[in-house]
Amino acid sequence: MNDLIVNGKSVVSGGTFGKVNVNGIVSIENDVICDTLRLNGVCDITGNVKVGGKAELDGVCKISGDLDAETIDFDGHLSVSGNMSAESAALSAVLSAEGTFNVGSLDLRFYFGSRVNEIVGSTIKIRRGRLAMTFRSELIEGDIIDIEHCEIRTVRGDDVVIGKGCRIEKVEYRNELTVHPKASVRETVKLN
Amino acid sequence: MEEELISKKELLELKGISYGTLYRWKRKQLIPDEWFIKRSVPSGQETFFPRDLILERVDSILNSKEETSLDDLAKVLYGSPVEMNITLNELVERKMISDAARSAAEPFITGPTDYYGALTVFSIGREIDSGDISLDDAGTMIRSMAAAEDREMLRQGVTRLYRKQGVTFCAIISDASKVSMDVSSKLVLEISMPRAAAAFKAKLLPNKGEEEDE
Repeated sequence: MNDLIVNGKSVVSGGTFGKVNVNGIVSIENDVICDTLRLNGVCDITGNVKVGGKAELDGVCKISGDLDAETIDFDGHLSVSGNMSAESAALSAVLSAEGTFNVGSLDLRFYFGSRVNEIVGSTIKIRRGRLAMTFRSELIEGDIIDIEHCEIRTVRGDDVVIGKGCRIEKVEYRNELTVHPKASVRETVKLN
Repeated sequence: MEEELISKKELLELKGISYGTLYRWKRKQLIPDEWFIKRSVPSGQETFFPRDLILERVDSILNSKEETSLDDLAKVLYGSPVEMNITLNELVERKMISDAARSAAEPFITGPTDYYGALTVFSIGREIDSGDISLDDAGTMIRSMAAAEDREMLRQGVTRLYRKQGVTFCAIISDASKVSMDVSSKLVLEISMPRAAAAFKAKLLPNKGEEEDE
């Protein structure tokens, strides 16, 4: 299968590739399906992105569509207009996603005012980066949830830790709930 | 026709699965996105599933998890069509279609057929067995479906049987929301193919081991 290697500044069209390596400033038009994706620089993709293996991105990336990968490793600024999914994801980023982020294990250090509509999965950990404000979401749902500085409408999980700086409308938990003194939770419900 | 729903909460409790497992299956496309139905309830928003479909699916996944990888399972249950090369007689032997369905299909499908052919006969066979259509009508549908150029429509679309002035005819539709039919034609039967495909694949599952042995 062909690789897509881009250095410099250009506009290319999407398609199915083995490796996709981008260094520079690139617009990719239409869907991209590939085994691995590596980005250093600025990338604008108008379509869905499906990565069979690892997506490693440093820089600024805007995706007008969904992002699916086995693993996501991201440092920078990521905005996704659709849904995201990954078995595991480590992000140190300004993150904005309009849809649902379905993730096995998430380790997010957010910057600025990051926002994801919904995060669902197994293990979800969210921390604040330097000079960041709050992370916003409608719903966080998973088995193990550990968050700080988040403003969330509903948090639902088995073992839930609501850390400092959180403002949560409603927490539903099955096993254990810990709330930091510097966090506010309006309503808690213990399931079954 | 309102189908019975089950809430996510109830499903997880009933089957003893975790949020993480449920969402993992969703990522692996073992559970189609369309089955996640969001509804407003007094306490906010809640996710529901079509009860029968999801319970059957969860059981199939739990039962076969040991020997099959989730990715392989996804191929069987959902997603890409499975590679098949099967005759009508073999379908009868595997108890996937009845003798009646075979006789309705025989004029139109000779020799081994692929996934789409087998799905066609299976979906129509169910209607014959439930007494909803006559063998002649079944033949009309199978003939149209076997001749369909866009085979994917057989998996994702809707097939309908109409009657006008005593004559029946079949329509295969990819987007059922955009169809306007002659007012004097009467809709006799509608088959949702994704639904039929789900049932078809559930039937396929227990036999998967045998297939690999061959």
